[in-house]
Amino acid sequence: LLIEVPGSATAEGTQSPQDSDLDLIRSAQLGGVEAFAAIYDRHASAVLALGARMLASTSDAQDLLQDVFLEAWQSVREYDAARASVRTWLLVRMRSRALDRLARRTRESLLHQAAARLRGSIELPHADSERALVMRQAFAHLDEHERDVLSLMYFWGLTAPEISAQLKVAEGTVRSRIARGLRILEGVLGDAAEQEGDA
Amino acid sequence: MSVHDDQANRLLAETLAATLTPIEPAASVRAQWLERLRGPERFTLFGAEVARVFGVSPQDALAALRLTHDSSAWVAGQLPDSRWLTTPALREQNAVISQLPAATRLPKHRHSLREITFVLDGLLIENGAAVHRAGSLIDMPPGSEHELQVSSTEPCLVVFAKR
Repeated sequence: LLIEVPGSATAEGTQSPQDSDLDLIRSAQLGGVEAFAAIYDRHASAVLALGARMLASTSDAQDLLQDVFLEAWQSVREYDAARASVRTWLLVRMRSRALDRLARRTRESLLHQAAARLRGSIELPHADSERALVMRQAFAHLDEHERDVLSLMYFWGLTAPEISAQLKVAEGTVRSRIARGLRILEGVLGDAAEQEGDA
Repeated sequence: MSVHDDQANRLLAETLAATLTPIEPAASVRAQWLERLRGPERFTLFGAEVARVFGVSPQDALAALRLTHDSSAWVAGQLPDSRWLTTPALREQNAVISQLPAATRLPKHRHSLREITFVLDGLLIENGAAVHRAGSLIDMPPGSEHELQVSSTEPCLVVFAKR
């Protein structure tokens, strides 16, 4: 007896480059390993870049990459598109794992490395897509001080008092630079989303 | 906003992290990861739900789901070509993981106890109409009845408990 199965959602359909991240995630949520492999192929290089930047080691970051994507697989059923894009969801996971790894290094050595690497190390954004180009322009709107504090906060996980000590500026100044930097980035992201909506 | 703020974290992921030049991971990293995903980690995406539904710890749920990849853990079942396995944690909850071959038919039957079935892989068709895919839960109260059929094209893997 053959049973006709209604509905089209399957775990292991054939993936195509046209599939959106959300299509792939939906397949993965039904157990589609190949769909999740396509997610890896799209985003692993960005996730690895974040880990490598935070740990100052591509090799250490590659060690984490496998764990990050395994944990993402174990949490894929809880992925909520309303909260974050797939790439952001993965980046948040890598940042959290890299911060755990950084926490194992002594705080003193971490602060020393952070300060040393910050000097002259702020890069202009890499732009491989229209959206990345918008981000590149957004980042250029931040002044050097704002870029410094956001970089120390995000890539190194430093607190406002630690940044204040490293940069030798008042903690209140650090906090206002963080707030202003985030406001600028938020505004640019909002504008970019509106433009995408209009397009 | 602080670095621990979810919103700030996401915002900076979309902006600051987008400033980085992507780094292509070594092919061996992908290969090893995919081997685990196709192997022991194949069904671990259901770990949280299996833990919640069957009342075992998340670690015990993951361990049981990984065991499906171990051919020595399986025992022949009562139905032709079926097999099952369990672990101490699942056994304590009167639960097993069971694999039914394609086209297996369970004629209409009544449940004297509550029966909980969570589909891990394949399809279960209930009463010739309702289709239960991977990630679906069938919760039958005591006294209820239904008939089930496994898809004609692939086996069905379920976690099953009687309460």
